[in-house]
Amino acid sequence: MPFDGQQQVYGAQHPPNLKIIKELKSGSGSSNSHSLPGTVVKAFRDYEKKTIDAWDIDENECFNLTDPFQISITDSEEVAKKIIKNHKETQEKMQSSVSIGSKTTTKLSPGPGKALRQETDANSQISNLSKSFKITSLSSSDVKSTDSSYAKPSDPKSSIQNKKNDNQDSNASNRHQLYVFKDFDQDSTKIQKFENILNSSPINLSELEKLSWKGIPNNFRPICWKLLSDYLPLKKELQEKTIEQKRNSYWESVTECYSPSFLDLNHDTLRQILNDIPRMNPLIPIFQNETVQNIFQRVLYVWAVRHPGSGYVQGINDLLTPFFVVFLNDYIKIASYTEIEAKDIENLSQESLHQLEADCYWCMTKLLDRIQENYIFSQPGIQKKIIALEELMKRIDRALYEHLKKNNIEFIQFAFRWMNNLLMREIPLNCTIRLWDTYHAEPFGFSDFHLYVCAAFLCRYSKNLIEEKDFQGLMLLLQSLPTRNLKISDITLLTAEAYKLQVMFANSPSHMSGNNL
Amino acid sequence: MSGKSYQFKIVLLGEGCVGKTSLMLRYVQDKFNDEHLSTIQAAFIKKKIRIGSNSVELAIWDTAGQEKYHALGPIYYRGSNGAFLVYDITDIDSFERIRKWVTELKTSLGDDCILCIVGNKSDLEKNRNVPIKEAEEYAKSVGAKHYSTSAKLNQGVNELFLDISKRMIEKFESSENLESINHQSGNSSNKRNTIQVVDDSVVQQEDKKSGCC
Repeated sequence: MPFDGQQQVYGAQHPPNLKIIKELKSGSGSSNSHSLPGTVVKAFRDYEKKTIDAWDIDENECFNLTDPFQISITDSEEVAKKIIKNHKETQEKMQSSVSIGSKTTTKLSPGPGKALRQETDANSQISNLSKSFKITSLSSSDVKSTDSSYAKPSDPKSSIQNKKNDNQDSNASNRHQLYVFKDFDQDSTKIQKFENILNSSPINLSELEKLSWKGIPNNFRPICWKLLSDYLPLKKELQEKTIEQKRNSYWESVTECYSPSFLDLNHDTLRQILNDIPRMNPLIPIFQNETVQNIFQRVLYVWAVRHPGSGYVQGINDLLTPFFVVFLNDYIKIASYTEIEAKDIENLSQESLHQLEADCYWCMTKLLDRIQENYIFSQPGIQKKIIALEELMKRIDRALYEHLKKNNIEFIQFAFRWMNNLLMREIPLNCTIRLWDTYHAEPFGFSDFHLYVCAAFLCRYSKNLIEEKDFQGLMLLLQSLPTRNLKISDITLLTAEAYKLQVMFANSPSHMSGNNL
Repeated sequence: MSGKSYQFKIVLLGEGCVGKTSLMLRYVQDKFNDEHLSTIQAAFIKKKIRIGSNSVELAIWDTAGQEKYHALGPIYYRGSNGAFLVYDITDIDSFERIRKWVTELKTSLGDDCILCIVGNKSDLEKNRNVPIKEAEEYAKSVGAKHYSTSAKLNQGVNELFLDISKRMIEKFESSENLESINHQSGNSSNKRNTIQVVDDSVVQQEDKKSGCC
């Protein structure tokens, strides 16, 4: 389950990707770094605005936050060097303290989740904790050593190793007990924050986005997604009426689309949908349930009929599943998104099912509106993103990029599905749902930001991929990456990494702009 | 001729839900599942077999059937030594779709690619909608061979893959295939080259031009 206290967050251990900084410098060729500070500063300002609460100025020896204009590549490289040095000096100490750092951040999960903030997350959060709860066991050197762990080379195996150690360490430690309690405390703070925002009217959307970025507690997820999708109005007094209208309008559409004349026109579409529905999520039992399949059929078919520009494209059916299981939570108590039983559905009243179905339709529609380019003729949205992903990888993980090229792997051969299905075929459903918290909260989350998530996702498996020495091995691995055990905390890390990439590259003038495509 | 290693690329094309993935999984893993996921875009799988004293490695691309993905076809069929054009014997529309693929493959690959027209779901013979005679005649008219299979009952699947492998070897050895000549002129252990990625690299270069910086 999300927010499981036992899960580690990678944030406290994960190093800043120094390669990025170097690539940025060397990759821009003759223009070199002189053109970069402006961009970086601008990006940094954006970033800082979003993540201000994550910073604790007392703890920041390296960045002068009161003056973002002084942040430059040179500075950050210097910082990185310092961190490495610091890391070497304190490696011994870190062994004992890193577990605490990472443990803590799981619950405190990063602010509007973002990038560089991840790096300071552990130290600022810990320092906050130590201040507020007067935890004497955490000295400032503990904090530093946690921070320094970022400078460790990005090595999935070593981080796995660390996590194992962490578990052992923390299980045996009294301090861990203390922190479990604090985690719980923090979590209830988070719940309180959600409650406060959701109880106000009109709801402060940007606050909600900021809070949701880091993951939404299960119980708040249905309402938050509806608000963030711009389906549910922010003004309380408008909500009931609007939703009722929307639900009615959906059911009117159903009647219309299933009239003989429409059915006749859209025979092929319906046929394709009927082909696909029994083949969705075969591992999750409710998707074999007839009631559920009928709901999916209607939603997908009505959507396709009403969006003739794209029509139904295989994969859109996958995008409906998170809404369905999340919104079910409005009607039944769900312990795990993947273990809902058919009888739970059968016990629902007809009215509940009707509401649920309409809500799914509208929120899926809102999502698809944002990524329409992905599904119109020749799927230009996807093609652009694949080219952009390739460019991005060239800069952030040159070794992997060249390895793939050398072995004749084309990005489109594996990344098409990543874009078409928003990584849903690659990661477990509960991870997708957590990822969508961020996507809903991030402007262009499902479109542009997804690209950066894909890049971070590919980097994550860089080492495994480099070990494969031929086309076949690479292709087989790429289409079934070892994601089975991905945790919610991994997604938190992934989104933070993605945010970092977005900050670094989205404003780069020579990069990712439509002109290049 | 004995003791050679071959590497061939096969692509499965055809309407959605006719059983492309099932055929592949039946052959490679000897498994059948009514409820596997629909294929998005394409899936890659490999299989090594022995034919006599020769070893053959098949690199199989299983593609998505939906018409919307038709444009992605070339990425997968480019450089193929063999193609399975699969239809569902209970579904006449799926057979019509085969004709489109045949035309397209002939245009793109000429006679380099061995075409197999596969009528799958022969276990549903009682619901047959595509007359077997018509299918066989059509296959003959385009220089392809027709096969009947049932991935579900495991009928004709091994034979299908074995037969296409033999035919690909024959083609390779007969030197009619220009690319085969080129590859053979290298040396006899040119395993990698038999997977024809030559075209791919051309396209990659085009892609590079459009990249930024």
